[in-house]
Amino acid sequence: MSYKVRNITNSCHCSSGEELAKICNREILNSYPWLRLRWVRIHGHRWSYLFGNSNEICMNAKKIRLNEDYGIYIDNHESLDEQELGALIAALKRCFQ
Amino acid sequence: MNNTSIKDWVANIVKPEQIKKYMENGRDFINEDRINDLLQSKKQPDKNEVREVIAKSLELNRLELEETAVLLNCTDEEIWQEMYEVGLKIKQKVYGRRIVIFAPLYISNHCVNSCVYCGYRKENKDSVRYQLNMNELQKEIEALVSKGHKRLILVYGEHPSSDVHYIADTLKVAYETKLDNGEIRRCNINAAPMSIEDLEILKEVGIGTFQVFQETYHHQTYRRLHPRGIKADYHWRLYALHRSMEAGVDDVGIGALFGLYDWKFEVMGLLSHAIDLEKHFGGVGPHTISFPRLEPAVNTPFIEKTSYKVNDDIFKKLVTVIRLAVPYTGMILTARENAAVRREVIQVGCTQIDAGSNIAIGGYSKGDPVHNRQQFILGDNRSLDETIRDLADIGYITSFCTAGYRCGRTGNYFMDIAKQGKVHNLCMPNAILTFKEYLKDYASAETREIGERLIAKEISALPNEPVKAKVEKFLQQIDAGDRDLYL
Repeated sequence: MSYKVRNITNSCHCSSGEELAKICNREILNSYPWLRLRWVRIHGHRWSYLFGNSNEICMNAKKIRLNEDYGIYIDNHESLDEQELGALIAALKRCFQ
Repeated sequence: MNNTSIKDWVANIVKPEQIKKYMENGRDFINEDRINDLLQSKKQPDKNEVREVIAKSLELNRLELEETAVLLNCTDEEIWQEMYEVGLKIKQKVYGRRIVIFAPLYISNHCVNSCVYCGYRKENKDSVRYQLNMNELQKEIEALVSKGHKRLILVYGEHPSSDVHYIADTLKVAYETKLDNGEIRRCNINAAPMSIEDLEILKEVGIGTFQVFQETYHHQTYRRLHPRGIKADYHWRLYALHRSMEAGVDDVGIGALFGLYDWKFEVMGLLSHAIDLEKHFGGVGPHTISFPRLEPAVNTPFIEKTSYKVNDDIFKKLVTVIRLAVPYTGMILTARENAAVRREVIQVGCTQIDAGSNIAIGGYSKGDPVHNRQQFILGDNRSLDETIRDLADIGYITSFCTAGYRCGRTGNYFMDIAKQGKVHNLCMPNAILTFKEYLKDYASAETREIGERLIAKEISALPNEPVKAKVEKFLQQIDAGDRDLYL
C-alpha cells in the first residue's frame, strides 16, 4: 500500500456518512490534487450528488459503490495507474465498510 | 376506512414546524404587493428595455422579478416573435434538439380535498373512485413498457389509502416490473405535500422528481378554491418542495394551474418560488416547471365561471416568459393541450412532454379512456409512436434518458452544468442512444425510417469526436442487443 493511500485509510477512523466522505475527499485531494471527484448518496436507483466536481462533464467517469449508501465518481481516473487506482478504491471501500 | 380514522389521519399530516422554519418574520416568499407593484410599474416597456432583458436571458442568466415583469408587459408583437425565437435558442443551447418523453400513470383518485376546479374533489359523486392494487399496477406498467416507455410520473390523490407507504410500494413495483427488453427506469411522483420524514421514505426507494403544484400563488384565490381538507393550508403546500430538498430529494418540480387567477401574477409566483428554492438550497432551483391549463372535468362547472381562462396566444406567451426567466430549468408541456398547440408551444423552449397518455385509472391495460375515472379530459390523444414520429418530422430526437439521476447528476451538480450550458453535451448523446433503443424495440416501420435518418444527422452534428466515437460504438452494441447504455 502506498503512503498516500495509507494516509487516507488512517484518517477515516471514527467517522461515517457524509462526514467520512468529506474527510476522504480532503485526504485524496491532498495526495492527488488533480483528481476530479464527485461524491454521491445512493438511494435505490437514485445516485444523488453530494459534493465535488461540478464544473466539468465527464463522459468516462469511474463509478464506484463504496457501501449501500455512498458512492464516488472519479472523473479523470485514467490519470492514475491501474495499481494506484485499485489501491485507492480498495482503501475507500475499507473506510466505508 | 371509516370517517373517524380519515379525520384522524388528516389532522396529523401538517407539521407546522416544517413550515415556519422557511418563513421570514412569519411571511412567505409570495410578496403580493411587490408583484402587483412591479406588474404595474413596468407597464408598456420600451423595446430597448425588453431587448436588454432578452439578452440577459440568452446568456443563460436567471431573471429577476423586475425583469420578468418587463417581459410579461410587452405589447409589441414583433418583440414577442423575438422572444419566441430566443426561447427556442435557449432551450437548444442548454439541452440540445431533444425532447424527453414520459407517461402519466394515475394510481389512485381517492381524495380528502375539495378543490372546486378538480374532478377528484371529494364531494364529486360523479367521479368513480378507484385505487390500483399491486397486481393491477403491474399490468399498467407492463402495458406502458410494451409501448416503449421508460419514464413515468405517478399520480395519487391525497388520502390515507394512498399514503407514503402505499406510494413507496408502488414505486418498488414500477421499478421491479420488466418485460422483454423493457423496464421503467425513472419514476417521478406527483402527490400531496409530505413531511420531511415521509419524503425520506420515498428517497430510499429511488424517487425521481417530486412534483407539487401550488395551483395558484394568489393567497386569497387559493383560500377560496381550496375551502376544506389538508390542501386548504397554503403554506404546507408552498413549502412542500423546500422539505423535499431538505429530505435529499433534490430534483423537484413546481407548477401552477393557469386559469385560476391572473396569468402574469402566476408567472411571477413561479419565479418567486424558483428564487426562494435557490436562496435556501445553495443555488439549486426547481428541476422542472409545469404550466397546465385548466381543462373541463366530469361534473365540475368551475371552468365555465372563471374569468381567468388563458387562450392559446397568451399560453404561448406565458410559456415563453417562463423559458426566458429560468433558462436552465426543464419545462413540461402536457397532453392536456391538443396536438396543434403542443407543436406550436414546444418551439418556444419546452423540454419534456407526455405521450400516449391515458389518465383514467387502470386505463393503459384496458386500452380505454374511462372518462369518469379521469381528473380532466386530455387534449392530445396521439399514440407514443405517432408523437415520436411527429417530433422527428420537426427535427427533434425523442429522449428516454434517465442517466442523470443514476449518475449523481442531480441537485447542485445538474444546476451547475445546466447554468454553464453544458448539459446538452450529455443530453444529446443519451437521447440518441435511448431513441435508438426505442426504434429497435417498439417503433413502427414509418417511425423507424424517419428516426434512423434523424439519428444519422444528429451523430454527424455531435461536436466532440471522442463522444461521437463512443456513441457510434454504443449504437453498434444496441444493434447487437445491448440495452441501457449511456454516458
